[in-house]
Amino acid sequence: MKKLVIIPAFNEEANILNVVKDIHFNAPNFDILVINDNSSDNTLALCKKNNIRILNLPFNLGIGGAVQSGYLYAYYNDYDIAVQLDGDGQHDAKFLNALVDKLIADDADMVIGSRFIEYKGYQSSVMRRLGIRWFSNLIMLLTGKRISDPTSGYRLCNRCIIKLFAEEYPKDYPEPETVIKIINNKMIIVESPVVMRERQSGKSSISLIKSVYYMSKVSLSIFIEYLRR
Amino acid sequence: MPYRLQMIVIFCIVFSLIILTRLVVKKRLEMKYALVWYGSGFILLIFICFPKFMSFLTDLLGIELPVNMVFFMGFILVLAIVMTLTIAISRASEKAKTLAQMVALLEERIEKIEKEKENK
Repeated sequence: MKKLVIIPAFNEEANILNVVKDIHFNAPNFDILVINDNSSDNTLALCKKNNIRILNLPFNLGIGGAVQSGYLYAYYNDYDIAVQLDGDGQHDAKFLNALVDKLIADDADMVIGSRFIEYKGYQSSVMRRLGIRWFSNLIMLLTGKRISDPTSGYRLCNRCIIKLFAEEYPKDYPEPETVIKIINNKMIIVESPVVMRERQSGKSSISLIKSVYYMSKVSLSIFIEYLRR
Repeated sequence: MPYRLQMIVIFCIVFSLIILTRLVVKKRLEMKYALVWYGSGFILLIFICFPKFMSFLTDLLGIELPVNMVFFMGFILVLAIVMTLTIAISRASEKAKTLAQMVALLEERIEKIEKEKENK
């Protein structure tokens, strides 16, 4: 079975090598693909020097476009399983094979690595947890399914969803709205507990000013995605 | 509507249509996007040239002054144009995204092939 880790990276020169090392060490059965979203730092050169497979976007596409390139790569190169793992070191590669086992055991299409099953590790700030809870409730209301961590980017999926994502993927803050899209497509999502770390360095992509935009955009997208069913 | 105002508005519209046509001729503006401008121009022109039709509509909508009707129409048409532009931008950015992704995928493939060649 061919498995791919997709690592979107935007100015992650400080973290990227550690992330890759972590995967080599904890899940050597995965191929690694870094997506360089037009970083202005050394990310590209660093990856090339260390012989890491890299997709180099000619201009900045944002997280959605970057991750989608990874799914396109997975689709064209016949991968059976693809997983997104953030380039900032938040996601621990230790859980990769646990997610694969869960996918196979439950015969699911996607496994979300959730912080809110065992409540271990970095739980994010109070405000953010409130936001996540809101999305979780919204999805519950619209689909009847409880997803405890719909904003988690640590998601592993099978060939069906690779194809779905290769065809269409939201440009920014894609996670919650793709969750509802998958449920609408009658595919199966399950969750598996993971422990996330706080960012090792650098700033998160969601600042305080952006959070209002974030909340309204994602809530509205979830609703629109619900209308598409 | 005063005769003088009518003349001024007609002059403005015709002048704009001429500029518009020059832009299309010089290929600074795509015909596809010029169409909505032509459409708005002609609609306004019809309203201005036939004041009877306009006063009929003005009464129908309960607007007091025919001039206000012109402004209202203009506003609606401008909104329509802005909307088509927003749609065009969405489409263009979607296309740019796909293009960027394909370029990245191709670059990766070329590098892989070159590496294989070197190793031979």
